[in-house]
Amino acid sequence: MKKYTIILSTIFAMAFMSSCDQDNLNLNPFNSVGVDVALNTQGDFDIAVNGLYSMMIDAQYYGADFLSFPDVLADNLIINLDARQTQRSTFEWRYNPNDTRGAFMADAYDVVQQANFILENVDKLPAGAAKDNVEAQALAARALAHFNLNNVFGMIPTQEAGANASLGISLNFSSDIRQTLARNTVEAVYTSVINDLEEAAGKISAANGIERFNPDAINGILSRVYLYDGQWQNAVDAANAVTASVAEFGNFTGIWDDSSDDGVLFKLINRDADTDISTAVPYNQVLTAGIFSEYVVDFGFFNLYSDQDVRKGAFIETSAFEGDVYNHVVIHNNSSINMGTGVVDIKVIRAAEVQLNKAEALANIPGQDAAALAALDLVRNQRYVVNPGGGETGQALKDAIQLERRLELAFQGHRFFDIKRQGDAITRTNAGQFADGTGTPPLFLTLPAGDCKFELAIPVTEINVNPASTQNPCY
Amino acid sequence: MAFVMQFSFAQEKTITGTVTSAADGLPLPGVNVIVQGTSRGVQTDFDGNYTIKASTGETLVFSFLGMKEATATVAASNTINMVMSEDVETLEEIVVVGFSSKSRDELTSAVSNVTSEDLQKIAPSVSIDNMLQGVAAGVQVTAQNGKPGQTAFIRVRGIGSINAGNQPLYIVDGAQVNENDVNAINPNDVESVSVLKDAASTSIYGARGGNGVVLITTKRGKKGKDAVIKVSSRLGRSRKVRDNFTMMNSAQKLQYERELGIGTGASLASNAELNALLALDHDWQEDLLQDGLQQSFSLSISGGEERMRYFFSLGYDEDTGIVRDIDGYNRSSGRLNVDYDAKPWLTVGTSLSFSSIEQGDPRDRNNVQNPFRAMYDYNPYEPFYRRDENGNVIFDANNQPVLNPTSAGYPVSSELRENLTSRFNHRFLGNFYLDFKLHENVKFLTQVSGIYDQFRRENYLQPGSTLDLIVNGNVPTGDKTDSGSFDFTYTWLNKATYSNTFGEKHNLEVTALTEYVRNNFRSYLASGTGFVIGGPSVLDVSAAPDTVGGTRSENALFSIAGNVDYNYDNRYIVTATVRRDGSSKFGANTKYGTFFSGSVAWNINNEAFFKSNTINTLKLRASYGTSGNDQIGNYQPITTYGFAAYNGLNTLEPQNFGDPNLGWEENTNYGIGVEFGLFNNRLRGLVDYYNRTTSELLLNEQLPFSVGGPTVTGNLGEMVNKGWEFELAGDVIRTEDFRWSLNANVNLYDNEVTKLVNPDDPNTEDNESDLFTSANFFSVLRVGEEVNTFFLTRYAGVNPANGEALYLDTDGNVTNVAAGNEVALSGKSPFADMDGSFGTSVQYKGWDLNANFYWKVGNYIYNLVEQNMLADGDGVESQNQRLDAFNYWRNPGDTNVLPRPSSAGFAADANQTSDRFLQKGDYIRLRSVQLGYTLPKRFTDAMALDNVRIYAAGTNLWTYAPEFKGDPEVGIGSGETQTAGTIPGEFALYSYPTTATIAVGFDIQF
Repeated sequence: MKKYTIILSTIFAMAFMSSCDQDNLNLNPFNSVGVDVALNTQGDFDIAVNGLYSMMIDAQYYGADFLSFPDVLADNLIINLDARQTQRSTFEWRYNPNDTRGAFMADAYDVVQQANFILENVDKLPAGAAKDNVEAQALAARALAHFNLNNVFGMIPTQEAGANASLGISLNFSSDIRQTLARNTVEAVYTSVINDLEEAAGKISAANGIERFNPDAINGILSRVYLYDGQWQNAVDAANAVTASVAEFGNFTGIWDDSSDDGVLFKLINRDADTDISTAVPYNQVLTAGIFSEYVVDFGFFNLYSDQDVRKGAFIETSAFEGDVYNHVVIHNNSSINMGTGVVDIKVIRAAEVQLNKAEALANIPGQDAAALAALDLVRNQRYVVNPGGGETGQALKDAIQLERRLELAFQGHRFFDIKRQGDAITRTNAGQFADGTGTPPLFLTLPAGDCKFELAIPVTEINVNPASTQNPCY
Repeated sequence: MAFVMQFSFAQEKTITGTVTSAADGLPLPGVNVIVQGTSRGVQTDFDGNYTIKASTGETLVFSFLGMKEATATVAASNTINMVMSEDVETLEEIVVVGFSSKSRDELTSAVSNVTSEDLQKIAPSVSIDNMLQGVAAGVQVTAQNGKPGQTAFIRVRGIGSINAGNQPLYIVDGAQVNENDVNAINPNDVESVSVLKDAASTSIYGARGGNGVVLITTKRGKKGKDAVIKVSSRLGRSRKVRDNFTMMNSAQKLQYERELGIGTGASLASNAELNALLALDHDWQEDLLQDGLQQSFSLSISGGEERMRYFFSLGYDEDTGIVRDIDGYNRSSGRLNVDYDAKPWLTVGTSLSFSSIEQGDPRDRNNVQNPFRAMYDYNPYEPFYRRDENGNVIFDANNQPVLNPTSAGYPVSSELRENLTSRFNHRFLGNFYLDFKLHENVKFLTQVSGIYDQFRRENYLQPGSTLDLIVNGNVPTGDKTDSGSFDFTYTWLNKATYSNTFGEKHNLEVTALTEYVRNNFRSYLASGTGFVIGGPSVLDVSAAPDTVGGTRSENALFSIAGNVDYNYDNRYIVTATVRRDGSSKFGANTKYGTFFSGSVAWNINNEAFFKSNTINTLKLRASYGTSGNDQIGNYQPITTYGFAAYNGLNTLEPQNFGDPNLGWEENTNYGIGVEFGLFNNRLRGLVDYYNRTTSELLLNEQLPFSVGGPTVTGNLGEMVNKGWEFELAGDVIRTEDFRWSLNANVNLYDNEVTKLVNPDDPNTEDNESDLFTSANFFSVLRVGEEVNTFFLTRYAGVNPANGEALYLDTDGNVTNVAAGNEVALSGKSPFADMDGSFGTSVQYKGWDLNANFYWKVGNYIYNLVEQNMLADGDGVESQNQRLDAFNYWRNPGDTNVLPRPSSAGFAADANQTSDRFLQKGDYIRLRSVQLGYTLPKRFTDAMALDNVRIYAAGTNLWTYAPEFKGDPEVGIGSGETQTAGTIPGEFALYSYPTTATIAVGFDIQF
């Protein structure tokens, strides 16, 4: 029996020695770090700031959606009903709380949350240029996200008289995921966006490249925000603070396959090896049989591009797919760097837009038509073999600026906002999807000025889980 | 043999004798006669006679299945006749319960038990869990889908959880395995499957037992039994279960298109064009599907000597599946179970099995890559290969016919042929144990069990294939992705048992155990791009690397538990259990939990006062207890930041928002049951009632989009499952040659969510809230309703005046707007109110016939497939429609019609998500039927075989679903869409269809 006792006690001892160890139950993940230790050193903050940019590339934000749906909503594109009919309810203004830009909202606020997390911890860094640069980038990312969100779900100040007092989006200044945020007025949103950007402009490092927020990028975005806010002189001043010049005629095409960065103020770098997002997918896929487009260029709009315009070839390819010829949007298709189709850098702001912002602002200031025309011609001189314009003033000048803006910023996520902020109607050409305008015209040709569909529906999930939120009038 | 020699020097003589049965005095053939402590043994012949050499003083041991073991000491006489009596104990069903085995008599809790004999009567499947459907009361088994080798969703006593797993704990020979590992086991190796249903039996599994426990025990050799060799083979064909609806043919579809002014039918220019299209009419199911081939071979050898028992098996199973161009499934498996009595006080043993599975996968997502969507969508007038204007097939540069991308824009056959996905699982499963008999009353077992799963997935997109040209900008490139994982779980169990009988009537058994479970998981991913057309596909060939990835995780569980069984004279039985678990999966403050149970049973028929000639068995049971559910993944309570990359630099981004107080879900169960047997137990039955409250429900709380829209796992709810289980079986005829029995079971389920969101949480305003979870497509959770009650707009038919589809708004007013008017449809959820099965078993001489029907009532399924097939004109140019789509509104006053389709392909009110497409999932199905014939003894004897049985078996041969259009056995709706927390049966969306099979096979034993 002694033998048994020894065996038994040995085994029990072994069992308990190995098993009772409490450390065995405190297991930590291998591929991530806890929130408490995430942000301490300058290196931590640097990679957290990089996180802001990669989060901006999420598919429902700048990755693809935000570069397409503002064009799909407007008059630059028409749907090819023979394709997969993606974003059809958007195109036909049939969105509702269940079918709206919910993922865009979540993805954009994700960036805000990350920016707030950085800003709340940034005092762990010693004061100085490095800290300022972290802070500036976080502020700018937050401002841009708030601005973009507001313009989709709320009104734009210049849209109509009551716009500033109407409900914009919820401003979020804390990384706390447990807060419930009510919607702020459009005026409050714009004030916050401008404050964030102005503070960022003062703190941003001049050494930052175009792959991140830099002084030109922030001033360029400020010129856009001031323009949307109707602050003409501030828009001009911000534009004047941008040093980079408009991309030259010869470099223009190279911008879109990333072989040239001429005139690019800020772009999100998209690489096969990391973010790897196809920005072309909302527009088309390239098949053996040719380009298979979801959306093609509105025929009326297509006719606005003259043969002398470098943008016509850079943006549009007229080619056949299965026997039918279309005007395909190819601006997002080709990369000189990446293998994957549509894996191209995302141009967030370019110098040409800044000059057009400036021109439009000046045209709204009495007596500044000449300066406005000069800014406009900085763009036109680099886009046409021969500048088709000449000495416009007054309304003709304003029309020329708007035309140039539409031609320059097409298929880059601008058009809906440019129509909306001026209180105009969306009017599509009554023409079909084929290159010669034949085919099936859109079912819905016009969204009248002032229609409540200009503000997209707040997602039903937001309404349901956030007791402080409220729905837009239309829904 | 050395020890045999040692004994052989003694004076050996020849003993002869006859063995007879005490019951009838007839001779017993096949009785094992062994000289104790040696390997010398013989069997009695047909007349019960035996002859064996033994020495004086040695002991002969007589053993025979169903008889009490008998011994006789060799003395002066050379003749030893033996009378053997029936062993009542062993004839009773032995049920594996947790860490011990008991006879039915001794059970105090609700346990369903399925033996290998039961399994043999069921039409075979490669995965044992699928065979349990309808076999055990209170255990709902739904095939995940019809994919070859696919495992089943098993739900024990209702839906116990929402976001944590709902799968029971699977224990195979002591090793914890997960739902998907179950198909690693060759069903031929299974001795029994026990399903532990109430807390009285599951609380010994503590934090893991909350959803019930499925204990799978594999076969082992038997003492003193000559080797039995069994060879089994089966060959079968499988086919998609026939649709209970009709799709349009070419003429009908073209007519429909013409009526609507959409698509090809609308633009037909001439009769010749029409006739050319009509000539192309074909059924795409015939192009894309095939009759599957199923084959199965297995060999087993089992036996035992005085000190050693063994079971050995090899198996091979194959199921091509019903998708053309893809080989579905094959499995090779092997097993060796050995027990050796090393010392009188020590048994050592092991169960070892290996299985290798290879699976080919079609895409299971709702897009153009899915063959099960394509077979319904593709227009019948669109040919398989592309045709030129003259109607001739177009050939490519390599002289291969070009696949027709059809109006869907992508040829699905290209996906099947050129985008190849294979999965490989190599699994080692088994245990090693030492079983000490320390004292007559004290035993100690130490056992290490484990499962090692090596998984590999390869996806090869052939260069030049259709998808390759799409993703790589029309340049033939090719991509290969290799990924996989190494998943090792081991369990170390130490168990001491004391058992004793006092005063002949007081039986006591006390068990104490410790258990340590640890899981280690590592995964990798590597992909490369740039392959040679027609060349090999290993990653070394690739021109450039694409991405790499890899991760690792761990979890651990440590437990101490104790169990006391007290049995007074087999009349009063009391069991008590306590277990303390610590788990790494939970928050720092909530790592440990204690679970307990108590149960009692009263065998009234064993009472002296109970004298009844009618009632032979009458037993009452009652139990109460707690158990937990820890299936929430690892590291959930921790808020973590993970890493990605931007512009070639590291990034830091939020990965998980955690709740540090996260604990396990707790199940509190109570139940009572009655078991009875009448007329010499010719009529047997049981009734069980249970009440199972799951509190601290783990739920993913959706936070507002305005904070980024994360979800956070917390202990946020409570729900109650109540139910009744009835089982009845009767032997209608019970004679030597003819036996006919009937059996049926009925289960009633009732589920109610009783609390959502902790009211103590300062962040919630009240406790009544809808929690939207990521797996939630059409349903909500709401207090007072069934779990996952459907949340849909109510359809109000068609406006007879203008053909518009009408709906009810949330206030019940008629509107033509569907979106935003969703309401919780009380009483309609994906879960059945009632299910059951009934079957019959007939045995006449050598013939046997077994049939089993399964039925289910009261569940609802959202039929997305129908929504696409009755699309009201929306996108119909690229998807074929059901024939009844013609029944649309045409003229004012039309009633009982579908909404008027829009010729423009769209009308805002039409084809909206609403309860128009929500259908009752009631069905009844001939689940299994089997006809067998056992060759008479005189043939098998002549062939020197013990037993030969041939059979034909069918599964799912007949189904009746009064309301649901499509196959009503819906598990997964769409595999790649429902990525986490699948709600079985919530919606149907082109997952792998259910198949019907017919097989023939034989079992030979010698």
